[in-house]
Amino acid sequence: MGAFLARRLIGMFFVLLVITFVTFAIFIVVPGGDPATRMAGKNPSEQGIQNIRETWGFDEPFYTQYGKMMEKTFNAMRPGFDDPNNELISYSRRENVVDQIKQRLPATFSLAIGAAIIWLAFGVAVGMISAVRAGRLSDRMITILALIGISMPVFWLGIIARYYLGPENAGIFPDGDYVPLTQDPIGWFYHLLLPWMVLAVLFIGFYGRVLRSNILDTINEDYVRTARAKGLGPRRVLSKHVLRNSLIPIVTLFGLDFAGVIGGGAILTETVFEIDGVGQYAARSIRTLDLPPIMGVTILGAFFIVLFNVIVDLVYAYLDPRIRPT
Amino acid sequence: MTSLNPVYRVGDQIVEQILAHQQISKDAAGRRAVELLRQVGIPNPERRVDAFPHQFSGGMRQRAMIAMGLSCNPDILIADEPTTALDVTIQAQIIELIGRLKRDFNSAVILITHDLGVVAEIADEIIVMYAGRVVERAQKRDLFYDSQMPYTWGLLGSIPRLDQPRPGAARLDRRRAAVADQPPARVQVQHALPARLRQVRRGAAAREPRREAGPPRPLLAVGRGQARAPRRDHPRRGRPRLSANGSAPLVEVRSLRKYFPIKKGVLQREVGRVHAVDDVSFAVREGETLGLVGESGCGKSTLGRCVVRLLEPTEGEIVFDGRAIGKLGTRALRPLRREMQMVFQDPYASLNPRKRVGSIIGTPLKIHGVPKAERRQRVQELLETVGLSPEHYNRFPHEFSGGQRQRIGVARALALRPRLIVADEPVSALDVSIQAQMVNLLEELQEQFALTYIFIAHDLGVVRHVSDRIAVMYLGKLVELSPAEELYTRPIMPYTEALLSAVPIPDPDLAERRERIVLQGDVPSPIDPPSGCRFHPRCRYMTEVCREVEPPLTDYGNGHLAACHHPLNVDAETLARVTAAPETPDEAREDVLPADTSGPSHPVTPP
Repeated sequence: MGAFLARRLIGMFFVLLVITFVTFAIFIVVPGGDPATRMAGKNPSEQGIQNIRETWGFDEPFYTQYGKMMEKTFNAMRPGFDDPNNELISYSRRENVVDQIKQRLPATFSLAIGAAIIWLAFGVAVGMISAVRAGRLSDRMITILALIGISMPVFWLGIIARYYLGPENAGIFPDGDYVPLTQDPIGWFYHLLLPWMVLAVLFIGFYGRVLRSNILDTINEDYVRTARAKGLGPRRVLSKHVLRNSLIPIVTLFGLDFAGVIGGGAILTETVFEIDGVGQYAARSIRTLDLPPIMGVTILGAFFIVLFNVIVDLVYAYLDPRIRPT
Repeated sequence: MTSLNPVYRVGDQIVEQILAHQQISKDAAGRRAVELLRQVGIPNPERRVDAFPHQFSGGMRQRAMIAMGLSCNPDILIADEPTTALDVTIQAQIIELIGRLKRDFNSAVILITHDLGVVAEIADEIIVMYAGRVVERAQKRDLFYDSQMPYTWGLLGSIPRLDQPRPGAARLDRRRAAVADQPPARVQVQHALPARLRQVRRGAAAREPRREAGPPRPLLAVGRGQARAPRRDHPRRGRPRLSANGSAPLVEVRSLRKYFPIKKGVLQREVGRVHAVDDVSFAVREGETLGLVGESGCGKSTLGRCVVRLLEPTEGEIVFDGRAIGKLGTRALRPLRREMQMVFQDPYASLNPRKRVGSIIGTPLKIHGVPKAERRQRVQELLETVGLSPEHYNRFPHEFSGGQRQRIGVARALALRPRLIVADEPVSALDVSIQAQMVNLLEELQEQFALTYIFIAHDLGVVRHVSDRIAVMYLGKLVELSPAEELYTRPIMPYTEALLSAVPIPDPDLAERRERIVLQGDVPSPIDPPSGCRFHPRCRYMTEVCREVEPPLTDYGNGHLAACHHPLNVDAETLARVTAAPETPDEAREDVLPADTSGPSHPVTPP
């Protein structure tokens, strides 16, 4: 267990190293990527650009720049660190990137966690129902609904839902925006309900389909026959002997999807519902080719992906004793 | 093997059933589970109730299943092929267990099996089913000695017997005699029966001389004396056949070792090794069949895969046709792949379900550069060679029965006209009557193409039927190597004796008379094999020396080698000769070569 975690942490370090380096390298080669020219404003003088280069260190070799950027990024995470000259500052707005991301994390986490609960609960329910009723009308209806859910793009569904269910028409839901949990828990819930559902629809359809086929595979296993032969009722057979074995692949999907949503996967949902989260911050930074915020969000996303991979492996070991280290 | 849920503890699965039917507390159910596990012979049941199914061996899992079946004191226990996936030694343990429990629990047992040997061991009354119908119902002795059904004769005739040299002449005579005396049967069973059996006629038809059809033949081709005669002068790719006398071996394996590393920790350091094959030497002559037997996990398959270089040996050398191939790279091996092929165990899993038969068989040809136009024709010829139809070219594997699929596997192996075929349990997954067809096919192909076989199997009956010589492996070691017949009549190594004794014989009288040696426990772990003689913890002749000194593979004359401190069936003279001449490693290597089989096979003559 200890060795396993140690190995994964070392792996995580290398993954982050490669990802940050690739992100950095893209900005060197991308056209118009030179931050000095962009920062100098309209009609810049050659001298002005040169000055910016020197102050920001853009004239140094790229590996030095990369090293400094990494140093600055991780400085901010050190407890008690306070040195304005050594922080990761965005080029366009001259803001502290880490602070900016920190500010937006609650909104993104709220959106991701709420949606994840919804899509997991409904995905499993949908999968179970359609597996139990496989081949019948209800299964086919669910299959059609699931496919519709998978096919509908979030930006379209979000806008439609916001328009028809929001204050302009039905008036059931408020119009976007994010209310912090600490400020007004009920408002927080009320405002997020629609974004949660819109974000979850895709995953519900997808998980339902995957779980359905897993259950149908598992149901033919010999040990399920054993469970029936023991005289257990169909509910108990399904919940105890089938579901646990079918959920194992779902865990992989869930870990990656959830981490992906936190690491910027909810860009569209956040934009549509005007939730000022990490995804929106990333979208805005990309528009201005602002490297530091993009780097920060990339590291955040990569970190969560790797972290959730480790968690997935641990949950795997819990669900399936065969892969527990002896 | 998958009848236990892999994610729950064995004890909990038993408790679950008890609680579903009995009004007792969870603790009481837990105690009952321990008690049940003890009754079915699981050591340390107090600890083992908390184990997961994957921590149990196959035999123990089957015991746990039986414990579960017995947990509510049933009046009837239905055992569906309870020993099919198990080794003979473990099968013997389970048969003994079911017999004992039948008495202790006083329940009736319905045993479903395809293995007539198992039936002969434990059944009182037998029902034979065919195509969904009961075709015969009889007491055990009546069925085995006085059956009314041609289908039952077919079943009995298709079993390679261990207690007889080759599917025995005597038995068949008895059955043939029975044919003439019985009234004609009504049941039609001809369709699925192998063609050869259809020649059996009964009643009036049988009494009339049908010279052109010949006497009824058993399902298995009779002894090799007549079957193999033609192959001696068979020209093989224009190459003159080596004379049987003093021919060079086609394959020679020298001190072969294959270890699999076990890695652990942050840096994945090697903390142990699975000693899958440990210092094994033998040679196979061209045209010969070497049988390779042993329990699961003793390294048979690993050895076979090393020989065809699907695996790279850790140490030692493999010489194929005079060329050392143990360390050759992929590129250098490619031309050799034409020469040696494998037939795999499970015809259901070893054929890609998404590929058509033509592509499965044709791929080796494609890899070796046979032009497309020619390929199709070659594949269709191959299909005919193995008894399938050329029209099957465009079908998928799932459209075939198990036996037919294995024929496809054989055709694929034959595609490149190899000289050596390593057949890894080629018939284990098939039904008895299909097994017989498969064995016949392999023997016919051997004649036709002058093939050399290494035939891996855990079924000692099949091995006896096909092999010229037989090698017995135990925990990665070669423990006995002997001409086929001699191994069955005169085993030297106690392990071989126990293996032979564990095989159920489909003859109730004989089964009752003979002494059974039931080996206790499972094969020890090859990660940390026992010291000295690896078999000593399970051996009934074990003494101090077995624990400390590893016995060398010693020649007891007539090409019969064994590694044992307490050899059985060896006369005093031979023993004296063997112990007097301590061998050098070089000599040992010589000994491993097959002795001249054309000479007298018996008895051992002192020099």
